[in-house]
Amino acid sequence: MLRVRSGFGFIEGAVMDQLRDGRSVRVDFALTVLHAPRGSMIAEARQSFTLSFDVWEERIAVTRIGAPTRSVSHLRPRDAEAWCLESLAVARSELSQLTRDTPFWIRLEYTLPDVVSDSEADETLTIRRLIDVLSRRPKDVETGKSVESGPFRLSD
Amino acid sequence: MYRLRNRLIAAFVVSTILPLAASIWIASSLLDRSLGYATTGEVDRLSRTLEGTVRQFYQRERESLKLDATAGRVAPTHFAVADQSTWPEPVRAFWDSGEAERFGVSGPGGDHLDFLRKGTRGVEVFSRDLGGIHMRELSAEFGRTRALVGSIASRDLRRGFTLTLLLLIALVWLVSLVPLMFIAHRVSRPIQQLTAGLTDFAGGDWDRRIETSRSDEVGHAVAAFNHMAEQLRTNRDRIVYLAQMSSWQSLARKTAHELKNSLTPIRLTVEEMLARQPTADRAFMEQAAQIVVSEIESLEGRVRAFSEFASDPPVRPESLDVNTLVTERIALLKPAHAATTYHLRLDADRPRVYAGADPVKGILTNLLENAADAAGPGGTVLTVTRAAGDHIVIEVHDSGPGLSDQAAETLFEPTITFKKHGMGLGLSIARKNALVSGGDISVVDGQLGGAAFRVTLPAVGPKVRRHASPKPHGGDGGPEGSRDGS
Repeated sequence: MLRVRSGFGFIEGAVMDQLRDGRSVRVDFALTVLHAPRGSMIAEARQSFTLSFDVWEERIAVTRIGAPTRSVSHLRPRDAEAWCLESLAVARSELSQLTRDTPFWIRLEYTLPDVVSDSEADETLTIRRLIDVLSRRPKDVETGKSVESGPFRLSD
Repeated sequence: MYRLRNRLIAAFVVSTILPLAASIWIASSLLDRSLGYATTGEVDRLSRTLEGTVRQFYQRERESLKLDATAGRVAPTHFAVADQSTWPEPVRAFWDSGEAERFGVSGPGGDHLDFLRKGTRGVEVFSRDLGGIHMRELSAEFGRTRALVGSIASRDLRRGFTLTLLLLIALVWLVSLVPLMFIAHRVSRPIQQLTAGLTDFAGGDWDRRIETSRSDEVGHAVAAFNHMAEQLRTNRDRIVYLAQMSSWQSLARKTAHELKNSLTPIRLTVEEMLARQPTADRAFMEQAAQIVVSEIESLEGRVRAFSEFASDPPVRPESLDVNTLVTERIALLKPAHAATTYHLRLDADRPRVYAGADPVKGILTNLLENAADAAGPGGTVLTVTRAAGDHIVIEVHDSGPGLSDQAAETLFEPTITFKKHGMGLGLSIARKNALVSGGDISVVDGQLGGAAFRVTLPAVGPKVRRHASPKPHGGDGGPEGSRDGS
């Protein structure tokens, strides 16, 4: 299995504020193995997580979405980030076209899908919906990030 | 061409924009004030304060429970490693976490605080009742409150309300503009048609009329235009006819004069030639002279007719009983047409016309004589009188062969005759007299299968009665006289 150990911090800033406010946050990860920087894809792993925050213990709980579902709680932000990355892996079998010395690049990206509230999901044209749409401020929250790194070799 | 409609729309726009702007301004001000009363900020602060307070309480309870557990004042629940398969999920998760101790809430709504501690034989769980404080419920309520505060913070409600207000007002305004445009078009269209009709009429299109089904002021204006156009066209036709008649009369006058000048010396010369002829040829010459004189007399007759046609005797209008005139004319004509049957359908109210007696008699004589000629022996002539508004109508119908299309077209033109006798000037003179009297003569559909003529003459009205002076001739002694006179 190909895993990324040292990733990047994403439980911080607006995401952390949202968690502290008692709201859950969904994070979609994609780990892509490339032939070259911004090159063609060799293999890819995708995984989504839901983060929540225990307001009184000030610890984070993470749930991996999809089968098999796994949850872990009482984590500090860095531990939660590490657990997410640990759960994201590309199977060795998918890298069969790579020899031990073939260089490859890895792109790790995450996105924070916009959580759509019930009122926002409702597409019925009402005055309330009109006010809701016309009063929205542009969101300045970072909704994702992508990091590409390499070259790596299986022999490393 | 759409100026009136555009002005109506512009008037609506101008008259509604200012009140609309004022309404928007007032609504925005009220909105501003109402948003000033919003308690979102208070809720934000309160939730934060409560969060801090509850957290302090929670931390204190944690410390207290840990101290009591360490001092042995609280009895733990043991979860032996041997029974790991029966452990509840929080205990198993704690065991797998690698942490030495952990706190958590349990119970309904989270009203208990648990202290989990790893030991050599398994996990010890110390629990304490939080005295009815449900931590999970508090956590959920805090989350909802923060979500509400966050939702409001992520919105510019003033902008949202104002834009919605503007959008809805604009929508309502635009929707109201549509029927207004329709109404403006409906109002302005007949006026536009009227203007176009007047323009066309002024440009020489005398047959221009406007159709309308409206009964309002515009409909009345259109009806007035149509009536006026009809009157103008009729009067124009009459004026043209009278002008033609004047030309024909002038020509007839000159022709009659020239012919008369020539015929008199011819007649005298022929008579003189006859007087000087020797006795031997006298019989032949007398016969020849007789033929020449006869033709001259015929020509003189025509000259007299021309002179009569060319003459314009003065007309003295007066009040005339039409029924009496008709009866009198028929009585005069009957001896000459004894085999003709005369029917009368006279208005019982004895209508009176205001016209010259001689012209009216001439008209009636001409029409009745023509009808009797056309009907022939055994034929029928019907005369009808009736009132029609401010005119009196006299119709003469005959049972003759009727008029051909060609005859109907040139009927009132002089010197054209379709009879064996006569000069062909009678109808021209009759129509001229009718026109001069303020009426007219026209051909109508006959009720007896033959030709029919309708004479219209002005009825005696209050105005006529007031201005006319009594006349002793031809009528009943003047317009003020009795209707039963004559």
